[in-house]
Amino acid sequence: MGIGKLILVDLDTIETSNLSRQMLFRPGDEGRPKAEVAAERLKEMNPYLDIDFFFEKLQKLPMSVYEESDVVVAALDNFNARLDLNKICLRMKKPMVEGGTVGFEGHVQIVIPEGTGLRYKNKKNEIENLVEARLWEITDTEYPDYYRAQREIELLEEEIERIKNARINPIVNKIHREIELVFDWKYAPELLDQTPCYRCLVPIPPADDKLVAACTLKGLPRNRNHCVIKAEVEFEKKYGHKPDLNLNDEVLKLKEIAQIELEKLRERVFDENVPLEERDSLTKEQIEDWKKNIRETFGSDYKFEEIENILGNKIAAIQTVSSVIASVQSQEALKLLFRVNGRNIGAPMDPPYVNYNGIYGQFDHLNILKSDDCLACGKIEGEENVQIVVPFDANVGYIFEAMEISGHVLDSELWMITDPMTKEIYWNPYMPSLKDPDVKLTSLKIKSNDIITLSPLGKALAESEIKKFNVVIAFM
Amino acid sequence: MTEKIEDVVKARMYARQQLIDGWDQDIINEGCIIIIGVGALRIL
Repeated sequence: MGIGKLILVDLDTIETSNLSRQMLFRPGDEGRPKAEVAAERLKEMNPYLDIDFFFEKLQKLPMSVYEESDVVVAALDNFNARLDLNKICLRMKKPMVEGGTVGFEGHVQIVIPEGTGLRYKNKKNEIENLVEARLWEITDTEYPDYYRAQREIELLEEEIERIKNARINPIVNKIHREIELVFDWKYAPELLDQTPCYRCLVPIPPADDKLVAACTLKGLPRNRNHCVIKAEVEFEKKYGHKPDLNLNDEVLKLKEIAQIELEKLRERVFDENVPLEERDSLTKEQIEDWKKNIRETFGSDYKFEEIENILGNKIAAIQTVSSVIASVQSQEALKLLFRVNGRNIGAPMDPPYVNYNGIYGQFDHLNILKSDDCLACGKIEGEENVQIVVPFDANVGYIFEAMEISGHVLDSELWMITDPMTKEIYWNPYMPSLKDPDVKLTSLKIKSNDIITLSPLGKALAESEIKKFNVVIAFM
Repeated sequence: MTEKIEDVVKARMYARQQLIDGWDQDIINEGCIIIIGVGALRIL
């Protein structure tokens, strides 16, 4: 449609599995940077477009690139990148159109940061909401007649209209006028000019995939996905390099190793459930039944395409849903582009979040709420929420390892671990009696989904931007 | 005054959208949109 300038950013290269869903790419493009090829193809479609592309991480882009942009479209494939982009948009005061899909479902979220000056909501409706809220708050002493009148209404139903007009509406109108008078300076910035941000909806991001892999390698594989992760490590040991999932023969070798791991897992489960001494009393058919059940529980032998799906933590994706979501995102980006430049061709969608279900062909708008406790746009500063996955037999020392894998490198000599509820100290580097990295988390009565707090001490207290990590522990 | 061929082709390309109320092609021409991510949109 002739957007003057498009900037495309992507760190990935094209894979064969992209060709069925990502329409700008063709056979032969495999291995080339997605951003470069997409820019090339868009330029073919419309030679008047000015397109820049960056084969780069969004976090590494010069801020001037964001500064130049009127609208940011988030077309990402992971939580952490979305959270980082959300942070950048909030800081740069750039409207963001976020989109995501999983299987037959998808969503679009508009994020308008505070201070963009973009009006997005209906002022009249917001005043009504505030009046309503205020009416619930007023007290008997503040407006005794309002309360008496309410009671009389119950008793004198036939006179409701008359009483309302005489005694309710005057108060409503008074509050209405009061709110209207202060609305522009007191409420408008929050209610009209900004939306909840992406982080408001994801207060605790799910644990990093790398943690799940790290946990798997610490123990014996316990499901078919673990076997493939283990096989990747075995492959590297055997061939001296990580398998290249774009090379068919390497995927085949990987599949063979994973299959061996799966066989071992089936045998382990059989041995655990059917002890040696019991086997003599079982018939051949009963033993076969056991093996069949185990096979059904842990899945059949691996298929070629399954290996990449597991290692890449791939999820269902289909072009039709991506197209619907990308179209909604484009439409919202277009309206915002006009609005940023002082022209109104339509308000951004309100509520600013829509969910799409391709099975029912249904769009649902969700009334998402801005969170005061949001770590990106709320009032809390210097905190971070993190989820970590740890093995069942993990010890206190592993918490620091897991934090590092999650991207938070913390010096165990400078951070304390406590229970936020009981204030019990699990790790204090200044106290030798509370500095045993081998203490098992289970012996400290830490259960799955419990929260622990990491706080900085000494030099870290002065230097760390984060003064408190709220860490959700999930056992694996 | 004769218009440049390039401008005429461009005007034809964008002709239909200019029928939308409030549309201003100049704003679009001057606008800049950054798209972060050129591949999948997965959320899990």
